[in-house]
Amino acid sequence: MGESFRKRRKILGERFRKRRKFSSKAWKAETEAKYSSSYSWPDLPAELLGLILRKVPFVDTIRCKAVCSSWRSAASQAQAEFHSIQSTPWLMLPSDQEGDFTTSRFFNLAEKKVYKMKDVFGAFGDDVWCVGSCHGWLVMLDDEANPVLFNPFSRVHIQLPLIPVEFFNPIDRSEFAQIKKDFISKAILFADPSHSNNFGAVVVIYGTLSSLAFCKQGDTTWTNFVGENRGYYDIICHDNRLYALRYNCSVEVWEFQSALPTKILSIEPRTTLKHVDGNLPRDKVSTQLYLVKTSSDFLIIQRTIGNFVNAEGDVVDESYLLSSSDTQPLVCPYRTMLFRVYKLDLSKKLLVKVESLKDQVVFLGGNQSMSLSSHDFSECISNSIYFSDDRWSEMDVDYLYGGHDFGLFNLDDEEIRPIYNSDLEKFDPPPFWITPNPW
Amino acid sequence: MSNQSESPNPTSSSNKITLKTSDNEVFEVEEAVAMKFCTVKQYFDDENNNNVTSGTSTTLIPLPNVESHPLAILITYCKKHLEIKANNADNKKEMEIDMEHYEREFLKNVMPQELTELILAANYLNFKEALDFFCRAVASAIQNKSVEYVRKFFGLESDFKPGEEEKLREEFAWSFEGVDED
Repeated sequence: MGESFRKRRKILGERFRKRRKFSSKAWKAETEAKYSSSYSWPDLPAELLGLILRKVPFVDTIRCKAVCSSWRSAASQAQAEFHSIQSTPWLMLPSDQEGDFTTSRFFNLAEKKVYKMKDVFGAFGDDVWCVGSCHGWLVMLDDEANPVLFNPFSRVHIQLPLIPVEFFNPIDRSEFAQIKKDFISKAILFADPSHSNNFGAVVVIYGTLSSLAFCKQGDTTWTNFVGENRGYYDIICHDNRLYALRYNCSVEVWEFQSALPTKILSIEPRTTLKHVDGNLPRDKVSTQLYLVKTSSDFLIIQRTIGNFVNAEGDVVDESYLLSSSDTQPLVCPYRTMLFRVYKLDLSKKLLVKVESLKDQVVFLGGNQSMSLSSHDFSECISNSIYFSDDRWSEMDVDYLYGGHDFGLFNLDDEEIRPIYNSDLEKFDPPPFWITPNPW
Repeated sequence: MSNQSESPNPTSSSNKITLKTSDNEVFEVEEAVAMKFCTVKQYFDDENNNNVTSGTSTTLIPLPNVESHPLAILITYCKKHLEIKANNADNKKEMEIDMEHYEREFLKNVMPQELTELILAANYLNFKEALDFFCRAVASAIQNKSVEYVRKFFGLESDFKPGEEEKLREEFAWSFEGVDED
């Protein structure tokens, strides 16, 4: 630093202190003068760089690694801590270009930005099918319906044992590959395998009876749960236990300490849910149930889907599709109409209707059902349910739609809004919520 | 040396503390302001314990790691911070709104180089709110920005071996797309 520069700095310093108001043009001029020439940038120690990088979204930390070597190590450090900090899930979408089956898109709610990844699933064949999403990992069935865990952000995969033939008797394995899209309705992991390579256990709801089966880390095959084992709607892992929701709204708690899972509790609410709420005709809608653990409660969420919904948003009868004078039937895809939320009162064994989720935000679909607080994630609209299409059995029913039923339901006004505008009507493969976990 | 003794509330009669920077400038600040700098507070408390005399304007605290330029800015920021807090003592929401507004205006005048100096000074002084604010400001300034932009922002140059950066860019090509260059 030259003598004249030092002198100038001193004069500037004095001027600054004499000034009364902070935000003035003079300050700007002064700082511009200060940094204009022969200024040597101070180095940020790794510890302070780390403070900054911990406030940067993970996708930016990836780019920060390419800045220089000290940034690379600070960013790696920040990333290593990242997995424990939650982020909002991204919506995994197929390509929007016709005929492009190799590009996947990931819509980040926080930035309202779409990231495109080329050939993410290439290694698993053309007809890979997702059945679950947990800790940033997808549970998938590859071309031959062999189960595999895959992290699309790190591109790491973990092969799982084959599904035993007795699970899909009487058909054989090649036929099974044909029906795989309608076989597993949900799959969850007990642990995040990113760092330890240990997923704990994978639990699935499978088959026409909606039974439970599991495969622990190190197992060579899948094993059925013992007991009645049917009629499961949703499963979540909480505190290293499995919470399983059944058709009658009972919630079972299973422990995984011994070789076989043991049922340690079954909470059977004394109240039952109305099949359909509101003014929707019961015979024209379907319902799906989800189990969600919020910071304080277990929620049972009922999703009501109109089987045929016309352009005006009204649920119609199937016969309506042919009532037009045209020879072509009308296209009225299924659409989610509303959600109802109930709190499971564990002590009184009651289901209590919840009018507001307050600051909570819920993500539902093929993913492990989850909830976040909009205080922590300002990109989320509070008191809302972000949902994706998990009506996979209808994926191949109509070539004009499928996978399209995703959006945002707000409990304040009970309106459904789009979260991502697209010209597509068919989303094949169906969108999935996935929380990026790239390391 | 001249003093900076502007007060958000001129009628208050509080003790003054004198701070001396690495470039030998002397700042006289109100105790309430100085106490937000934990390093100063620590020094001040230790002094008070050693001498039984209470804090008076004779206390001079040397800050060998802080230059006058960032200190002047930090004092201004701190005063405003206290003022906003005092004005909205019973309304946290209002306080947050006012603070946000002030911080937005504040950042319009700050140059990237200055932010780095402010972070270093706030860290040395252990002024937590300011450190958090400046780190947030930098984090949001580099969000969705190109690598080249970040380098320019911090006056950095790549020191990678040939191929290292390319490998990273290739592996995570998706995250380098669609970012702002300036």
